[in-house]
Amino acid sequence: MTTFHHNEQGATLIELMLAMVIASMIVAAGFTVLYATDQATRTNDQIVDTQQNARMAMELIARDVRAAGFGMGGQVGGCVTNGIPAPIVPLDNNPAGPDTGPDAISLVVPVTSTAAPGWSLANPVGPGFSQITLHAGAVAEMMSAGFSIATLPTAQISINGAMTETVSAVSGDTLTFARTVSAPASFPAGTKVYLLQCVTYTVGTTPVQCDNSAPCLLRNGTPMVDGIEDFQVAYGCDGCNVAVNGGVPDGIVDDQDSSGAFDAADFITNSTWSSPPFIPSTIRLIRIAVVARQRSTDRGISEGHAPMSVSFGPVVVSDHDPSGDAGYNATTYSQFRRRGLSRTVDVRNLAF
Amino acid sequence: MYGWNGILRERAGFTLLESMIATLILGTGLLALAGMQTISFSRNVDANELTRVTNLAAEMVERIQFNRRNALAYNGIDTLNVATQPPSTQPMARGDYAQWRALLSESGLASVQGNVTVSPTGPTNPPLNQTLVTITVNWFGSSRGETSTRRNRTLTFRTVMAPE
Repeated sequence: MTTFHHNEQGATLIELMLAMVIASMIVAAGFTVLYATDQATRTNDQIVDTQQNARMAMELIARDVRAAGFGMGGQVGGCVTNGIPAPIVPLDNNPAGPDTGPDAISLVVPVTSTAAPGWSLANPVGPGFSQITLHAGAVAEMMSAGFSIATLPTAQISINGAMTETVSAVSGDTLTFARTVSAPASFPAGTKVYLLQCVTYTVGTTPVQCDNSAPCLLRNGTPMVDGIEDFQVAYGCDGCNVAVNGGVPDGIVDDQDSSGAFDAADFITNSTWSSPPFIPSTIRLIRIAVVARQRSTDRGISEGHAPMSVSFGPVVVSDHDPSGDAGYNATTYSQFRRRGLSRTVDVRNLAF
Repeated sequence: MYGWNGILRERAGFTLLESMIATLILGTGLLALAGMQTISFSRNVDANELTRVTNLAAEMVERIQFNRRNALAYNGIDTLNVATQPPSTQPMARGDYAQWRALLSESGLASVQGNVTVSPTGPTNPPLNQTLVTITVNWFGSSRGETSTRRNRTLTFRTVMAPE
């Protein structure tokens, strides 16, 4: 009996210890996996967001560049350079040399309403007309989108992209043009009407500009895409350099570096065009580059969760090396993952 | 006393077995969880590559769009075969080839190859001089995915162009 009793007690203690060891191993392993999974999920989310933001910014800008111009018939909003109305206004960070920040660009683009019936003709017009009537409420919507004959130099609308007219008077939903559109031009009811607007893309760097999530891509000051850190534009022009083909457009992008071939150096980012001033109407190809970064840093595994270094070196885009920027800090810079995209876009609607 | 002993032994054995089974179940679950992370990371890598390749393909489409009068000069372009570079009588096409080739090789994608074929299409009488442009980019994907092998990937971009 005594032996049994001893055996019983001994077995219980060992079993208890064994159970505790196994239990703590399971719990420790469980927590390690939980923590690792949590970290991985956060990182994954950040990367997905970053990639998505880069893509969204590129699509947004490329779409507006493709539409830039849209048959404009004079100055639209602030889209003017050297006193000349322009469909594309390059706004380089530093036109004289290497940039120390993101570029900007202003474009004349069409704006319309996607809601039915949208901004469209209420009645058929023409041949021979000087005013159009839109569906009820359209003009009010256009005004909230920035349409104003009082403040804009010229308030222009495009009828279906076919004809651009300057509006001289507004009465209810009726727009009166500065001239009479002569026959045979006529349009059926329901034809789409577009408002021409000058939009400017910039990169916002402060939380105030970006709804508390700097940096971001701004379109006319409105935050559009989170996490856009850099935006660079370079321009290929045809007929802007008098040294090439006498400054006459010949369907070949001007050889700015006299290399005898069309190469990457023919895309100019600074205003070092051979025949000043800058002539935006000769721009034919635009090279766009965007850099997106994750919105918040990864939580580190050290005490206090100091952010970890997750990327290497400054991302040099076009003529912008971020390490030359004011306030550049290699340590904080390396705490963000980045995704960059670039694309060359043909300017289709520039000719007017 | 026999009864006590029996109960204790029974209980002790059951606890060990229980924890072993629990460990097994938990371990299986955790392994599945880890596998899920691997898949989601590799899909992320796939998505990123696809976005970059789409931009590279769109780049060439835009370049041909600018030089659309000479779209046929781009037929047969292969970035891995320099002999397919358009002749100097087509300076834009020639420059586009060199720049596109450089962009592809700088992209860091493994074994990346870009091909362009351009063929006349659309009505012939009267002719609209339309061309069917096909851009194909092949590369060796860097993610392994669930099959643990890297895959050859392809992106094809097809569009019809017409001189204005």
